[in-house]
Amino acid sequence: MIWIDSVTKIYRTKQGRKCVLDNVTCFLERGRSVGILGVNGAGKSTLLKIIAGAEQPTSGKVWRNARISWPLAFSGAFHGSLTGAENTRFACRIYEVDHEPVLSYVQEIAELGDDLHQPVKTYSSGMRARLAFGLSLALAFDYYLVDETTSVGDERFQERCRFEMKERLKSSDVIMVSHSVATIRQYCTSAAILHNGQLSAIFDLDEAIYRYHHALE
Amino acid sequence: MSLLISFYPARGDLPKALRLQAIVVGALILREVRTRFGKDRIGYLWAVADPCLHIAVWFGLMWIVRQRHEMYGMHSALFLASGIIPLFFFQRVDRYVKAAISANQALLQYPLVKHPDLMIARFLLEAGTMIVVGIVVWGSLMALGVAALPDDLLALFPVSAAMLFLGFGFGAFNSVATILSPTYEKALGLSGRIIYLTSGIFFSVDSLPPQVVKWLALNPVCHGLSLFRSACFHSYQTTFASVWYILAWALALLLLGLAFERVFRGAIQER
Repeated sequence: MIWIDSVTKIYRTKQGRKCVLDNVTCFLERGRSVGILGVNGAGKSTLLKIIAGAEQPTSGKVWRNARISWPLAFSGAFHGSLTGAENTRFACRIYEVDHEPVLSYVQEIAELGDDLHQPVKTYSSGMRARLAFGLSLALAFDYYLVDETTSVGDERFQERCRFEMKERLKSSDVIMVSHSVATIRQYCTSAAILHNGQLSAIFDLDEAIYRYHHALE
Repeated sequence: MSLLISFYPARGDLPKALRLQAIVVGALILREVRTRFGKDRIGYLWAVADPCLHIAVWFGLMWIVRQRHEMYGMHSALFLASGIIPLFFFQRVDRYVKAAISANQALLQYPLVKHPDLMIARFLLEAGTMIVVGIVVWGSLMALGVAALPDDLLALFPVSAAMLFLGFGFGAFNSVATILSPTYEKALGLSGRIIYLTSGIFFSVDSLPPQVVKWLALNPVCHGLSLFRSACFHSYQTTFASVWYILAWALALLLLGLAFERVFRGAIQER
């Protein structure tokens, strides 16, 4: 489970303090994939980073009792000077996983060929996304935190992503943030809406979409 | 495929937290080796060539000024090396740790990687590198017949450790401060040069008048060079230096750096 306990995040900008998340509380149980709908700039990525623990909330706390991925975005958490394979090994080491099977899995999914041994900074954004996706799926997490990763790459890769992700969903859950209803519908059966720093309750997907469109007007 | 992933250690579960930190630091060291020494391994050569170049340039300058290769009763290359080596212990560790956070922004997206892990990994790698470099440089001078084995080998350990630790303290503080204030980065360039020139590479602080020593002794690096030389040569006696003074600076800056990191963690992550 993940319990987001009265989390507030305030950024200091030149225009003054900007409250991105305003006292957000949410309880996420295992066995349910949840989408978080919000317009661009609503604080979706920030919320995901805070759930992952990659960023600290200004106040409040996140309690986790599960294995949670890092936020999966297109770019991935890659060091540009290291090769794809070296980045993969780094992730394996910190998550204490044997790297041989992970490397072959990543190679199979990402289809990078010899480029796997080139520095990541030479990759196109599509290649980075494929590597990021392959690596995150190779490691088994209870929760995958997804930041609209799946909508990159060509048709065939997207198809592959959907298939592999569906496989994972048999034993794992996804928390996906997106502004697109269509993306969320593919993986989630329920969703919450992030609007003006407030997170709504978790609704059944259809109701959430209705409320999301309503909030946009 | 079923792979296991470590849980976040619970609050207060110190053994588990330390174990996780050791794993992360170990992975970071292996990652740093790549960029520190480069793909073609030329970095290993450069790590040794760098202090040698410093010694050579100062040797040349001293030759032009004095027209002889003797300083304070010994070969000037030897006198310079016994200053450059401890200076590098401090300076290179500081320089490398300083960039720990800014050079690894991407890896901070992994929630398991924390700022202090980046500093510790770089400290361990660079400290180890500098110890090897120091041995190679001194060994080369011995092979050339310029140097002998240091007179008091045991006394080299505390001063070397203190200088490496001083680099860690400065580096940890600077890594946080440079991210928070770009102006500080510029000021650092100037203060670095002052520390370098007043540390006593090309002169012996101990043979200066006490009024001058009083001021130079504020610079902790001065203490390190003086102690290092007195460990290398029985003929060289330090009049002012204290290893505790170096350690006090190191500890104060390290604690200040870590406290800054804790207080401004959010702000650093947003950069």
